[in-house]
Amino acid sequence: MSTGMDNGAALGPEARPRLGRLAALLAEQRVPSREAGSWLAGTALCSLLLLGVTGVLLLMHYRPSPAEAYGSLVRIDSAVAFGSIVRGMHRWSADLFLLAVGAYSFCYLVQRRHAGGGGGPWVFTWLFGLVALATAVTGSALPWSRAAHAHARVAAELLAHLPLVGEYLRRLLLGGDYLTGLSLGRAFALHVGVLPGLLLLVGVGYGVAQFGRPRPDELSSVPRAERTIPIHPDFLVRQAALWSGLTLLVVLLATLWPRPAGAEGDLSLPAPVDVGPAWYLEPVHQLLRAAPASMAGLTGATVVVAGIALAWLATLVAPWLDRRGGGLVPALAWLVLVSSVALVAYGSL
Amino acid sequence: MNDPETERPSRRRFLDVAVTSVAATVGVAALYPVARFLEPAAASSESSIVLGPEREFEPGSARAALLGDRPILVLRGQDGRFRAFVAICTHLRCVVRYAPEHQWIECACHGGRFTAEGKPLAGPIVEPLAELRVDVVDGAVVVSSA
Repeated sequence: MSTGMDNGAALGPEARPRLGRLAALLAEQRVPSREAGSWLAGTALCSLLLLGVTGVLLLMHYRPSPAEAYGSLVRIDSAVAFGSIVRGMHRWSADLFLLAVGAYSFCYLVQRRHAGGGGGPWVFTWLFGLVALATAVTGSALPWSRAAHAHARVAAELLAHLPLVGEYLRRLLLGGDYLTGLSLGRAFALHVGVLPGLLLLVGVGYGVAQFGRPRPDELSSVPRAERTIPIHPDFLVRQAALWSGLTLLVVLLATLWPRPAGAEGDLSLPAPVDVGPAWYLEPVHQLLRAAPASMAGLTGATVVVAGIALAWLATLVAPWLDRRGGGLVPALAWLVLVSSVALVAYGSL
Repeated sequence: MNDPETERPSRRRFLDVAVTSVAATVGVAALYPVARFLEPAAASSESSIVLGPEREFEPGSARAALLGDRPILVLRGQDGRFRAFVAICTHLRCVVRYAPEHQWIECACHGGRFTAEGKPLAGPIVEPLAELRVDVVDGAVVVSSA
């Protein structure tokens, strides 16, 4: 009677431990050695993992009710062991996540990776960015502070300016015409349930759409051995170094620059005098401040929201129209980046 | 007589279309109750609020409160006259505050300003603040929807 060991001995290399076999298999697979995309995707995934872990930890103390939310946050910061660091890590890794997703999207367009059938993966990249932004915005309501109230009100009202579905979306987000305790419940449900689930779905969709596509480096004239590295150990070691470095960075940032919860919220009180948007909404904020009250019979806010929505949609559609990889798409990506930076600079003057 | 080999693709195509159509119909049908479920239930019907004795309101002061779900702002002018507004900026719905040093109403979010009568004064606003009715009933200030 033959045993598993007999079989292993007969098959040679397969007698190795399973992990060893996996390592050998990964050593045969090669990935590009120099690609900004893999570093940025690694950064996004690492910060997403940090967000997941710290988010679950925060859930153990956070209370999503209007009467208790702010108090539970203050307790996390002041009375829970390492609470301030865990919450700070959640906030800093959210910033890192958005930055990495934005930079990845930018590189995708500038490197013309949409050319030759990359429109599918780009749609998922675009959707991933949109869902990431929505996750950040809903998260900014959860402290239920005065600033959080202002952020939630403005975000909901910006949605309301979208044609057709805007008013429905606003009421959906707020749970009524005004910001109330119900709005907190909805922001919480979206932030910890619906949107992370969507991120996962869109991420899987990206993987499926990307499957089997030639990588940009495969068009290169440099020999394959020189332009690629094996997944094991080179790629994995690089990613492990990246993830360790990023985790250390996030812990340091959270320790040195914690993110205080701000003043306690009261739905009847005005927005704080020093209220400002999160950095990723700063360009929109500056446009809204600078726009005239009315333009061509429309309110300034309507024109700004319509303009941003159109620009955002253009970044979705342009890679479909420009499948040959001409200069249109990179130019559009640069235009969005430069105008955003210019608006932030204008606002800080 | 039909050849089953040539028939097969059209039958398969029919099945594909039928299955996709049924799945899409079921999907849309399932979305409808979800979308309706998420619609907010009827809002608070509270239409008036008693804010307290008239003597507690100094001339030139303001007080914030909630009328049902709506944030409101009650001002008392130097002449002793009361005015009340829904304290929601008509630009992007931040809650506004009264600035007694300038005697105007302002919004910190995007720099909108209103006169003490609720009219647009500066910034990216077009519409005036929605005004509410103020009565003094048996010495108490009562604000109600107009």
